[in-house]
Amino acid sequence: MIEFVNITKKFKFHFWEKEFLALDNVSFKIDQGDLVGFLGANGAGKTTLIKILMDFSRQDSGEVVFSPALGKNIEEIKSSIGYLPERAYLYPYLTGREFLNYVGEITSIAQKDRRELIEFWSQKLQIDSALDRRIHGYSKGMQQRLGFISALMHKPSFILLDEPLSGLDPIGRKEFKSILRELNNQGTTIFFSSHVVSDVEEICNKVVFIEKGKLIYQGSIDELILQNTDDLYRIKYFEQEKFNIIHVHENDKNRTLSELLMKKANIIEIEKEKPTLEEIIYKIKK
Amino acid sequence: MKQTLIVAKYTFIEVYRSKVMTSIFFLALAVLVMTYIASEFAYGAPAKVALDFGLGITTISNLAMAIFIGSTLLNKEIEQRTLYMILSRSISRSSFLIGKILGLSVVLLTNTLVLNLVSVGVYVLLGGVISKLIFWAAYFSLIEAFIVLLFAVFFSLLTNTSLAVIYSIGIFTVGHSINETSKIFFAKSNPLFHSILNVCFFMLPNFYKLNLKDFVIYQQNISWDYLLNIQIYAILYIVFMLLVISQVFKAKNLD
Repeated sequence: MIEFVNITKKFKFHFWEKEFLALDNVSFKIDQGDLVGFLGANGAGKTTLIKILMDFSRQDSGEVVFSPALGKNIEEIKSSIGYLPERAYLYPYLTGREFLNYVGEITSIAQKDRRELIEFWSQKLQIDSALDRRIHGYSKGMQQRLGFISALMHKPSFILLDEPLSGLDPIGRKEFKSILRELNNQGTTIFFSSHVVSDVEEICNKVVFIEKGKLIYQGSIDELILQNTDDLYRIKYFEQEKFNIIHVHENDKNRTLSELLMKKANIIEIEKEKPTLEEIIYKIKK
Repeated sequence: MKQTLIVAKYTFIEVYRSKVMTSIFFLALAVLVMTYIASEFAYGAPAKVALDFGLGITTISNLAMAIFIGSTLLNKEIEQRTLYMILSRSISRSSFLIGKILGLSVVLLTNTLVLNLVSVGVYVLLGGVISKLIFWAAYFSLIEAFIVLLFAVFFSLLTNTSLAVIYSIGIFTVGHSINETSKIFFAKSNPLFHSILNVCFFMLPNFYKLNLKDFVIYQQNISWDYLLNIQIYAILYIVFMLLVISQVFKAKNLD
Protein backbone atom coordinates (compact mmCIF):
# COMPACT_ATOMS: atom_id res chain seq x y z
CA MET A 1 0.00 0.00 0.00
CA ILE A 2 2.80 2.41 0.98
CA GLU A 3 6.49 1.86 0.53
CA PHE A 4 9.35 3.96 1.87
CA VAL A 5 12.38 3.59 -0.39
CA ASN A 6 15.79 4.66 0.93
CA ILE A 7 14.52 7.73 2.78
CA THR A 8 17.30 9.97 4.06
CA LYS A 9 16.70 13.25 5.85
CA LYS A 10 19.26 15.60 7.33
CA PHE A 11 18.70 18.71 9.40
CA LYS A 12 21.01 21.67 9.72
CA PHE A 13 19.73 24.33 12.08
CA HIS A 14 22.58 26.84 11.61
CA PHE A 15 25.18 27.05 8.84
CA TRP A 16 28.03 26.66 11.33
CA GLU A 17 26.57 23.50 12.83
CA LYS A 18 27.20 19.96 11.67
CA GLU A 19 24.36 18.25 9.82
CA PHE A 20 22.16 16.02 11.90
CA LEU A 21 21.12 12.78 10.22
CA ALA A 22 17.49 12.23 11.24
CA LEU A 23 16.76 9.35 8.86
CA ASP A 24 19.41 7.15 7.31
CA ASN A 25 18.36 5.21 4.21
CA VAL A 26 15.13 3.91 5.72
CA SER A 27 13.16 1.43 3.59
CA PHE A 28 10.09 -0.58 4.52
CA LYS A 29 6.62 -1.40 3.30
CA ILE A 30 3.13 -1.22 4.78
CA ASP A 31 0.78 -3.77 3.21
CA GLN A 32 -2.95 -3.40 2.88
CA GLY A 33 -4.83 -4.62 5.94
CA ASP A 34 -1.82 -4.40 8.26
CA LEU A 35 -1.90 -2.93 11.73
CA VAL A 36 1.66 -1.72 12.10
CA GLY A 37 3.26 -0.29 15.21
CA PHE A 38 6.07 2.18 14.60
CA LEU A 39 8.49 1.96 17.49
CA GLY A 40 11.46 4.04 18.44
CA ALA A 41 12.75 6.11 21.33
CA ASN A 42 12.08 9.85 21.53
CA GLY A 43 14.07 11.52 18.75
CA ALA A 44 14.52 8.30 16.77
CA GLY A 45 12.98 9.88 13.64
CA LYS A 46 9.40 8.57 13.81
CA THR A 47 7.64 11.95 13.48
CA THR A 48 10.06 13.06 10.74
CA LEU A 49 9.19 9.98 8.67
CA ILE A 50 5.47 10.54 9.21
CA LYS A 51 5.82 14.18 8.13
CA ILE A 52 7.61 13.03 4.97
CA LEU A 53 4.78 10.59 4.26
CA MET A 54 2.26 13.44 4.62
CA ASP A 55 4.35 15.76 2.39
CA PHE A 56 4.83 18.28 5.22
CA SER A 57 8.56 17.76 5.13
CA ARG A 58 10.73 16.78 2.18
CA GLN A 59 13.35 14.06 2.24
CA ASP A 60 16.89 14.70 0.97
CA SER A 61 16.83 11.44 -0.97
CA GLY A 62 14.58 8.44 -1.48
CA GLU A 63 10.89 8.31 -2.20
CA VAL A 64 7.53 7.34 -0.78
CA VAL A 65 5.58 5.12 -3.18
CA PHE A 66 1.79 5.00 -2.78
CA SER A 67 -0.26 2.23 -4.32
CA PRO A 68 -2.59 3.47 -7.11
CA ALA A 69 -5.55 2.32 -4.97
CA LEU A 70 -4.92 5.30 -2.67
CA GLY A 71 -5.15 7.88 -5.48
CA LYS A 72 -3.39 9.37 -8.46
CA ASN A 73 -2.10 12.64 -7.01
CA ILE A 74 -1.21 13.87 -3.52
CA GLU A 75 -4.63 15.50 -2.97
CA GLU A 76 -6.47 12.27 -3.87
CA ILE A 77 -4.08 10.22 -1.75
CA LYS A 78 -4.65 12.52 1.22
CA SER A 79 -8.40 12.01 1.00
CA SER A 80 -7.76 8.28 1.62
CA ILE A 81 -5.63 9.00 4.69
CA GLY A 82 -6.80 9.77 8.21
CA TYR A 83 -4.00 11.54 10.04
CA LEU A 84 -3.59 12.61 13.67
CA PRO A 85 -0.38 14.48 14.54
CA GLU A 86 1.44 14.15 17.82
CA ARG A 87 0.04 16.45 20.57
CA ALA A 88 -2.37 18.11 18.16
CA TYR A 89 -3.56 21.52 19.31
CA LEU A 90 -6.84 22.39 17.70
CA TYR A 91 -8.25 25.84 16.94
CA PRO A 92 -8.99 27.10 20.47
CA TYR A 93 -11.83 29.51 19.62
CA LEU A 94 -13.83 27.02 17.55
CA THR A 95 -16.22 24.61 19.24
CA GLY A 96 -15.60 20.88 18.89
CA ARG A 97 -18.53 20.60 16.48
CA GLU A 98 -17.30 23.52 14.37
CA PHE A 99 -13.85 21.97 14.14
CA LEU A 100 -15.27 18.63 13.00
CA ASN A 101 -17.49 20.43 10.48
CA TYR A 102 -14.42 22.34 9.26
CA VAL A 103 -12.42 19.17 8.50
CA GLY A 104 -15.58 17.46 7.21
CA GLU A 105 -16.32 20.30 4.78
CA ILE A 106 -12.71 20.31 3.54
CA THR A 107 -13.02 16.57 2.91
CA SER A 108 -16.31 17.22 1.04
CA ILE A 109 -18.51 15.12 3.33
CA ALA A 110 -22.16 16.01 2.70
CA GLN A 111 -23.84 17.97 5.51
CA LYS A 112 -26.27 15.16 6.44
CA ASP A 113 -23.51 12.53 6.55
CA ARG A 114 -21.32 14.92 8.49
CA ARG A 115 -23.98 15.38 11.14
CA GLU A 116 -24.46 11.62 11.48
CA LEU A 117 -20.76 10.86 11.57
CA ILE A 118 -20.12 13.53 14.20
CA GLU A 119 -22.91 12.15 16.35
CA PHE A 120 -21.75 8.56 15.93
CA TRP A 121 -18.07 9.14 16.69
CA SER A 122 -18.57 11.70 19.45
CA GLN A 123 -20.87 9.28 21.28
CA LYS A 124 -18.47 6.40 20.74
CA LEU A 125 -15.57 8.45 22.09
CA GLN A 126 -17.72 10.04 24.77
CA ILE A 127 -17.25 13.71 23.98
CA ASP A 128 -20.76 14.36 22.63
CA SER A 129 -21.64 16.46 25.67
CA ALA A 130 -18.64 18.77 25.08
CA LEU A 131 -19.08 19.27 21.33
CA ASP A 132 -20.66 22.73 21.62
CA ARG A 133 -17.97 24.05 23.96
CA ARG A 134 -14.94 25.97 22.71
CA ILE A 135 -11.84 23.82 22.33
CA HIS A 136 -9.70 25.96 24.66
CA GLY A 137 -11.78 24.55 27.51
CA TYR A 138 -10.98 20.95 26.55
CA SER A 139 -8.53 18.78 28.48
CA LYS A 140 -5.58 17.17 26.67
CA GLY A 141 -7.42 13.85 26.48
CA MET A 142 -10.57 15.47 25.08
CA GLN A 143 -8.53 17.24 22.39
CA GLN A 144 -6.94 13.91 21.53
CA ARG A 145 -10.38 12.32 21.21
CA LEU A 146 -11.59 15.19 19.00
CA GLY A 147 -8.47 14.91 16.82
CA PHE A 148 -9.03 11.15 16.58
CA ILE A 149 -12.60 11.69 15.35
CA SER A 150 -11.35 14.15 12.74
CA ALA A 151 -8.92 11.49 11.49
CA LEU A 152 -11.64 8.84 11.24
CA MET A 153 -14.78 10.68 10.15
CA HIS A 154 -14.12 10.57 6.37
CA LYS A 155 -13.74 6.74 6.53
CA PRO A 156 -10.14 6.61 5.31
CA SER A 157 -8.62 3.38 4.01
CA PHE A 158 -5.30 4.20 5.66
CA ILE A 159 -4.99 5.64 9.17
CA LEU A 160 -1.77 7.29 10.24
CA LEU A 161 -1.41 8.26 13.89
CA ASP A 162 1.55 9.88 15.61
CA GLU A 163 1.64 8.90 19.30
CA PRO A 164 -2.17 8.63 19.47
CA LEU A 165 -2.22 7.19 22.98
CA SER A 166 -0.17 9.89 24.68
CA GLY A 167 -2.14 12.11 27.04
CA LEU A 168 -4.96 9.59 27.45
CA ASP A 169 -6.13 8.02 30.69
CA PRO A 170 -6.15 4.18 30.93
CA ILE A 171 -9.81 3.99 29.88
CA GLY A 172 -9.15 6.26 26.90
CA ARG A 173 -6.14 4.15 25.86
CA LYS A 174 -8.27 1.02 26.03
CA GLU A 175 -11.03 2.63 23.95
CA PHE A 176 -8.57 3.90 21.30
CA LYS A 177 -6.93 0.48 21.03
CA SER A 178 -10.27 -1.27 20.74
CA ILE A 179 -11.38 1.14 17.95
CA LEU A 180 -8.10 0.61 16.10
CA ARG A 181 -8.55 -3.16 16.31
CA GLU A 182 -12.16 -2.87 15.17
CA LEU A 183 -11.26 -0.69 12.18
CA ASN A 184 -8.41 -3.02 11.25
CA ASN A 185 -10.80 -5.98 11.33
CA GLN A 186 -12.99 -4.06 8.87
CA GLY A 187 -10.03 -3.83 6.48
CA THR A 188 -8.51 -0.44 7.32
CA THR A 189 -4.73 -0.30 7.21
CA ILE A 190 -3.28 1.36 10.32
CA PHE A 191 0.18 2.68 11.02
CA PHE A 192 0.81 4.30 14.37
CA SER A 193 3.91 5.46 16.14
CA SER A 194 4.54 4.92 19.81
CA HIS A 195 7.37 4.64 22.23
CA VAL A 196 5.29 2.40 24.48
CA VAL A 197 6.19 -1.13 23.34
CA SER A 198 3.39 -2.88 25.24
CA ASP A 199 0.71 -0.89 23.32
CA VAL A 200 2.17 -2.03 20.02
CA GLU A 201 2.53 -5.63 21.17
CA GLU A 202 -1.07 -5.65 22.37
CA ILE A 203 -2.77 -4.71 19.12
CA CYS A 204 -0.38 -4.84 16.16
CA ASN A 205 0.49 -7.70 13.88
CA LYS A 206 3.59 -6.02 12.50
CA VAL A 207 6.22 -3.71 13.86
CA VAL A 208 8.73 -1.27 12.41
CA PHE A 209 11.50 -0.33 14.78
CA ILE A 210 13.92 2.52 14.19
CA GLU A 211 16.77 3.73 16.32
CA LYS A 212 18.75 6.95 15.72
CA GLY A 213 17.28 7.24 12.22
CA LYS A 214 18.17 3.69 11.18
CA LEU A 215 15.76 0.86 10.54
CA ILE A 216 16.44 -1.94 12.99
CA TYR A 217 13.57 -4.31 12.29
CA GLN A 218 10.44 -4.54 10.19
CA GLY A 219 8.11 -7.48 10.05
CA SER A 220 5.81 -9.67 12.05
CA ILE A 221 5.81 -9.35 15.85
CA ASP A 222 5.34 -13.11 16.26
CA GLU A 223 8.37 -13.82 14.08
CA LEU A 224 10.46 -11.34 16.00
CA ILE A 225 9.49 -12.96 19.28
CA LEU A 226 10.11 -16.45 17.89
CA GLN A 227 13.55 -15.43 16.64
CA ASN A 228 14.45 -14.13 20.07
CA THR A 229 12.95 -16.92 22.13
CA ASP A 230 15.31 -19.37 23.86
CA ASP A 231 14.11 -22.96 24.08
CA LEU A 232 13.35 -22.73 27.76
CA TYR A 233 10.32 -24.05 29.60
CA ARG A 234 8.95 -22.98 32.92
CA ILE A 235 7.54 -25.80 35.03
CA LYS A 236 5.43 -25.03 38.08
CA TYR A 237 4.72 -27.92 40.42
CA PHE A 238 3.49 -28.67 43.93
CA GLU A 239 5.58 -30.88 46.17
CA GLN A 240 5.97 -31.27 49.93
CA GLU A 241 3.21 -28.73 50.56
CA LYS A 242 4.79 -25.90 48.59
CA PHE A 243 4.85 -24.52 45.05
CA ASN A 244 8.10 -24.69 43.09
CA ILE A 245 9.14 -23.22 39.75
CA ILE A 246 12.03 -24.52 37.63
CA HIS A 247 13.35 -23.48 34.22
CA VAL A 248 14.57 -26.24 31.91
CA HIS A 249 15.87 -26.46 28.37
CA GLU A 250 13.68 -28.18 25.76
CA ASN A 251 16.05 -31.16 25.61
CA ASP A 252 15.70 -31.76 29.35
CA LYS A 253 11.97 -31.07 29.53
CA ASN A 254 10.64 -34.63 29.21
CA ARG A 255 13.27 -36.11 31.48
CA THR A 256 12.61 -33.50 34.18
CA LEU A 257 8.88 -34.05 33.94
CA SER A 258 9.32 -37.82 34.30
CA GLU A 259 11.49 -37.33 37.37
CA LEU A 260 8.92 -35.02 38.94
CA LEU A 261 6.07 -37.44 38.22
CA MET A 262 8.07 -40.28 39.70
CA LYS A 263 8.52 -38.19 42.85
CA LYS A 264 4.70 -37.84 42.80
CA ALA A 265 4.91 -34.06 42.38
CA ASN A 266 1.75 -32.35 41.19
CA ILE A 267 2.51 -30.53 37.88
CA ILE A 268 0.55 -27.28 37.89
CA GLU A 269 1.78 -25.57 34.70
CA ILE A 270 4.24 -26.05 31.83
CA GLU A 271 4.86 -23.00 29.69
CA LYS A 272 7.38 -22.15 26.98
CA GLU A 273 9.22 -19.05 28.11
CA LYS A 274 8.51 -16.22 25.72
CA PRO A 275 10.10 -12.78 26.11
CA THR A 276 7.89 -9.72 25.73
CA LEU A 277 8.39 -7.42 22.76
CA GLU A 278 9.70 -4.84 25.19
CA GLU A 279 12.43 -7.19 26.40
CA ILE A 280 13.41 -8.00 22.82
CA ILE A 281 13.52 -4.33 21.80
CA TYR A 282 15.65 -3.58 24.83
CA LYS A 283 17.98 -6.48 23.89
CA ILE A 284 18.27 -5.29 20.27
CA LYS A 285 19.03 -1.73 21.38
CA LYS A 286 21.82 -2.94 23.64
CA MET B 1 -12.16 27.66 -4.72
CA LYS B 2 -14.76 26.03 -2.44
CA GLN B 3 -12.05 24.82 -0.09
CA THR B 4 -10.44 28.28 -0.02
CA LEU B 5 -13.77 29.76 1.08
CA ILE B 6 -14.19 27.07 3.78
CA VAL B 7 -10.74 27.93 5.21
CA ALA B 8 -11.59 31.66 4.99
CA LYS B 9 -14.89 31.12 6.83
CA TYR B 10 -13.35 29.26 9.76
CA THR B 11 -10.34 31.60 9.90
CA PHE B 12 -12.72 34.51 10.25
CA ILE B 13 -14.75 32.73 12.97
CA GLU B 14 -11.55 31.88 14.85
CA VAL B 15 -10.20 35.46 14.70
CA TYR B 16 -13.65 36.97 15.30
CA ARG B 17 -13.89 35.13 18.63
CA SER B 18 -10.35 35.95 19.68
CA LYS B 19 -9.40 39.25 21.28
CA VAL B 20 -9.11 40.99 17.89
CA MET B 21 -12.80 41.81 17.71
CA THR B 22 -12.78 43.12 21.27
CA SER B 23 -9.91 45.42 20.28
CA ILE B 24 -11.93 46.66 17.28
CA PHE B 25 -14.75 47.56 19.64
CA PHE B 26 -12.44 49.47 21.99
CA LEU B 27 -10.70 51.13 19.04
CA ALA B 28 -14.07 52.30 17.74
CA LEU B 29 -14.81 53.73 21.16
CA ALA B 30 -11.38 55.43 21.20
CA VAL B 31 -12.01 56.86 17.70
CA LEU B 32 -15.31 58.28 18.90
CA VAL B 33 -13.79 59.95 21.94
CA MET B 34 -10.55 61.12 20.31
CA THR B 35 -12.12 62.56 17.17
CA TYR B 36 -14.51 64.50 19.35
CA ILE B 37 -11.68 65.80 21.56
CA ALA B 38 -9.55 66.68 18.52
CA SER B 39 -12.42 68.55 16.92
CA GLU B 40 -12.88 70.55 20.14
CA PHE B 41 -9.28 71.77 19.85
CA ALA B 42 -9.61 72.63 16.18
CA TYR B 43 -10.39 76.22 15.35
CA GLY B 44 -12.79 76.75 12.49
CA ALA B 45 -12.80 73.28 10.97
CA PRO B 46 -13.71 70.74 13.66
CA ALA B 47 -15.43 68.36 11.21
CA LYS B 48 -12.35 68.15 8.99
CA VAL B 49 -10.07 67.48 11.95
CA ALA B 50 -12.43 64.79 13.22
CA LEU B 51 -12.43 63.10 9.82
CA ASP B 52 -8.66 63.36 9.45
CA PHE B 53 -8.23 61.83 12.89
CA GLY B 54 -10.73 59.05 12.22
CA LEU B 55 -9.23 58.07 8.85
CA GLY B 56 -5.74 58.16 10.38
CA ILE B 57 -6.63 55.90 13.29
CA THR B 58 -8.39 53.45 10.94
CA THR B 59 -5.28 53.23 8.76
CA ILE B 60 -2.95 52.71 11.72
CA SER B 61 -5.16 50.06 13.35
CA ASN B 62 -5.57 48.24 10.02
CA LEU B 63 -1.81 48.24 9.54
CA ALA B 64 -1.16 47.03 13.08
CA MET B 65 -3.63 44.18 12.55
CA ALA B 66 -2.21 43.30 9.15
CA ILE B 67 1.37 43.25 10.45
CA PHE B 68 0.83 41.44 13.74
CA ILE B 69 -1.77 38.90 12.61
CA GLY B 70 -0.07 38.39 9.22
CA SER B 71 3.31 37.70 10.84
CA THR B 72 1.91 35.10 13.22
CA LEU B 73 -0.70 33.61 10.89
CA LEU B 74 1.29 30.62 9.67
CA ASN B 75 4.10 30.38 12.23
CA LYS B 76 1.53 29.90 14.99
CA GLU B 77 -0.23 27.22 12.97
CA ILE B 78 3.05 25.36 12.37
CA GLU B 79 4.15 25.66 16.01
CA GLN B 80 0.76 24.52 17.33
CA ARG B 81 0.39 21.85 14.62
CA THR B 82 -3.14 23.05 13.79
CA LEU B 83 -2.17 23.37 10.13
CA TYR B 84 -1.32 19.66 9.93
CA MET B 85 -4.94 18.84 10.76
CA ILE B 86 -6.11 20.76 7.68
CA LEU B 87 -3.24 20.17 5.25
CA SER B 88 -3.54 16.42 5.80
CA ARG B 89 -6.86 16.69 3.94
CA SER B 90 -7.36 16.86 0.20
CA ILE B 91 -6.58 20.56 0.03
CA SER B 92 -3.63 22.17 -1.74
CA ARG B 93 -1.25 24.38 0.20
CA SER B 94 -2.16 27.35 -2.05
CA SER B 95 -5.90 26.97 -1.35
CA PHE B 96 -5.20 26.79 2.38
CA LEU B 97 -2.91 29.84 2.33
CA ILE B 98 -5.24 31.97 0.22
CA GLY B 99 -8.15 30.91 2.43
CA LYS B 100 -6.26 32.05 5.55
CA ILE B 101 -5.40 35.40 3.92
CA LEU B 102 -8.97 35.85 2.73
CA GLY B 103 -10.31 35.16 6.24
CA LEU B 104 -7.99 37.80 7.68
CA SER B 105 -8.97 40.26 4.95
CA VAL B 106 -12.58 39.98 6.10
CA VAL B 107 -11.33 40.93 9.60
CA LEU B 108 -9.56 43.97 8.10
CA LEU B 109 -12.73 44.83 6.16
CA THR B 110 -14.81 44.65 9.36
CA ASN B 111 -12.30 46.90 11.13
CA THR B 112 -12.36 49.41 8.26
CA LEU B 113 -16.16 49.45 8.13
CA VAL B 114 -16.68 49.84 11.88
CA LEU B 115 -14.03 52.53 12.43
CA ASN B 116 -14.92 54.50 9.31
CA LEU B 117 -18.59 54.39 10.19
CA VAL B 118 -17.77 55.89 13.60
CA SER B 119 -15.44 58.60 12.25
CA VAL B 120 -17.80 59.55 9.39
CA GLY B 121 -20.64 59.62 11.93
CA VAL B 122 -18.74 62.13 14.11
CA TYR B 123 -17.81 64.12 10.97
CA VAL B 124 -21.46 64.37 9.91
CA LEU B 125 -22.57 65.28 13.45
CA LEU B 126 -20.05 68.13 13.44
CA GLY B 127 -21.50 69.46 10.20
CA GLY B 128 -19.32 67.76 7.60
CA VAL B 129 -20.66 66.85 4.18
CA ILE B 130 -20.21 63.31 2.90
CA SER B 131 -18.32 63.03 -0.36
CA LYS B 132 -17.42 60.03 -2.52
CA LEU B 133 -13.77 60.63 -1.79
CA ILE B 134 -14.23 59.52 1.84
CA PHE B 135 -15.25 56.06 0.64
CA TRP B 136 -12.39 55.95 -1.88
CA ALA B 137 -9.94 56.88 0.88
CA ALA B 138 -11.32 54.12 3.16
CA TYR B 139 -11.22 51.61 0.30
CA PHE B 140 -7.62 52.44 -0.59
CA SER B 141 -6.62 52.30 3.07
CA LEU B 142 -8.03 48.74 3.12
CA ILE B 143 -6.05 47.83 -0.01
CA GLU B 144 -2.91 49.27 1.57
CA ALA B 145 -3.45 47.16 4.70
CA PHE B 146 -4.06 44.09 2.52
CA ILE B 147 -0.74 44.55 0.69
CA VAL B 148 1.05 45.00 4.03
CA LEU B 149 -0.68 41.80 5.24
CA LEU B 150 0.70 39.94 2.20
CA PHE B 151 4.21 41.21 2.98
CA ALA B 152 3.86 40.18 6.63
CA VAL B 153 2.79 36.65 5.58
CA PHE B 154 5.63 36.52 3.03
CA PHE B 155 8.26 37.49 5.59
CA SER B 156 6.82 35.11 8.18
CA LEU B 157 7.43 32.27 5.73
CA LEU B 158 11.08 33.23 5.38
CA THR B 159 12.02 34.24 8.89
CA ASN B 160 10.78 34.37 12.49
CA THR B 161 7.83 36.42 13.74
CA SER B 162 9.83 39.32 15.23
CA LEU B 163 11.85 39.88 12.06
CA ALA B 164 8.71 39.53 9.93
CA VAL B 165 7.13 42.37 11.96
CA ILE B 166 10.23 44.57 11.58
CA TYR B 167 10.53 43.92 7.82
CA SER B 168 6.83 44.60 7.25
CA ILE B 169 7.06 47.93 9.10
CA GLY B 170 10.11 48.68 6.95
CA ILE B 171 8.18 47.95 3.73
CA PHE B 172 5.32 50.17 4.88
CA THR B 173 7.71 53.05 5.70
CA VAL B 174 9.69 52.73 2.46
CA GLY B 175 6.47 52.33 0.44
CA HIS B 176 5.24 55.65 1.78
CA SER B 177 8.46 57.60 1.50
CA ILE B 178 9.89 56.37 -1.80
CA ASN B 179 7.78 58.71 -3.93
CA GLU B 180 8.99 61.83 -2.11
CA THR B 181 12.56 60.56 -1.67
CA SER B 182 12.96 60.17 -5.44
CA LYS B 183 12.15 63.88 -5.84
CA ILE B 184 14.90 65.22 -3.56
CA PHE B 185 17.97 66.79 -5.13
CA PHE B 186 20.48 64.29 -3.69
CA ALA B 187 18.54 61.37 -5.18
CA LYS B 188 18.38 63.03 -8.57
CA SER B 189 22.04 64.04 -8.65
CA ASN B 190 23.59 60.79 -7.32
CA PRO B 191 23.44 58.15 -10.13
CA LEU B 192 23.97 55.15 -7.82
CA PHE B 193 21.34 56.25 -5.32
CA HIS B 194 19.04 57.14 -8.21
CA SER B 195 19.40 53.63 -9.69
CA ILE B 196 18.75 51.98 -6.30
CA LEU B 197 15.67 54.16 -5.86
CA ASN B 198 14.46 53.20 -9.33
CA VAL B 199 14.75 49.50 -8.52
CA CYS B 200 12.89 50.04 -5.22
CA PHE B 201 10.29 52.11 -7.05
CA PHE B 202 9.42 49.20 -9.32
CA MET B 203 9.78 46.41 -6.77
CA LEU B 204 8.17 47.87 -3.66
CA PRO B 205 4.55 48.95 -3.29
CA ASN B 206 3.95 52.66 -3.78
CA PHE B 207 1.71 53.37 -0.79
CA TYR B 208 1.94 57.11 -1.36
CA LYS B 209 -0.37 56.71 -4.36
CA LEU B 210 -2.91 54.82 -2.23
CA ASN B 211 -3.12 57.58 0.36
CA LEU B 212 -6.11 59.77 -0.52
CA LYS B 213 -6.57 61.37 2.90
CA ASP B 214 -5.15 64.74 1.84
CA PHE B 215 -7.53 64.83 -1.12
CA VAL B 216 -10.45 64.15 1.25
CA ILE B 217 -9.45 66.75 3.82
CA TYR B 218 -8.74 69.50 1.28
CA GLN B 219 -11.71 68.48 -0.88
CA GLN B 220 -9.67 68.13 -4.01
CA ASN B 221 -10.98 66.21 -6.97
CA ILE B 222 -9.37 63.08 -8.30
CA SER B 223 -9.86 61.94 -11.84
CA TRP B 224 -11.49 58.56 -12.55
CA ASP B 225 -8.40 57.65 -14.58
CA TYR B 226 -6.21 58.09 -11.53
CA LEU B 227 -8.50 55.93 -9.37
CA LEU B 228 -8.71 53.26 -12.06
CA ASN B 229 -4.95 53.17 -12.66
CA ILE B 230 -4.21 52.88 -8.95
CA GLN B 231 -6.69 50.02 -8.63
CA ILE B 232 -5.13 48.17 -11.58
CA TYR B 233 -1.69 48.74 -10.04
CA ALA B 234 -2.89 47.43 -6.64
CA ILE B 235 -4.62 44.39 -8.13
CA LEU B 236 -1.55 43.44 -10.17
CA TYR B 237 0.64 43.88 -7.11
CA ILE B 238 -1.69 41.72 -5.00
CA VAL B 239 -1.82 38.96 -7.64
CA PHE B 240 1.98 39.03 -7.95
CA MET B 241 2.40 38.81 -4.16
CA LEU B 242 -0.12 35.96 -3.86
CA LEU B 243 1.74 34.01 -6.54
CA VAL B 244 5.09 34.55 -4.81
CA ILE B 245 3.71 33.63 -1.35
CA SER B 246 1.99 30.51 -2.74
CA GLN B 247 5.22 29.32 -4.34
CA VAL B 248 7.23 29.94 -1.17
CA PHE B 249 4.62 28.14 0.96
CA LYS B 250 4.50 25.20 -1.48
CA ALA B 251 8.26 24.78 -1.25
CA LYS B 252 8.46 25.28 2.51
CA ASN B 253 9.35 22.40 4.80
CA LEU B 254 6.72 22.37 7.54
CA ASP B 255 9.04 20.73 10.10
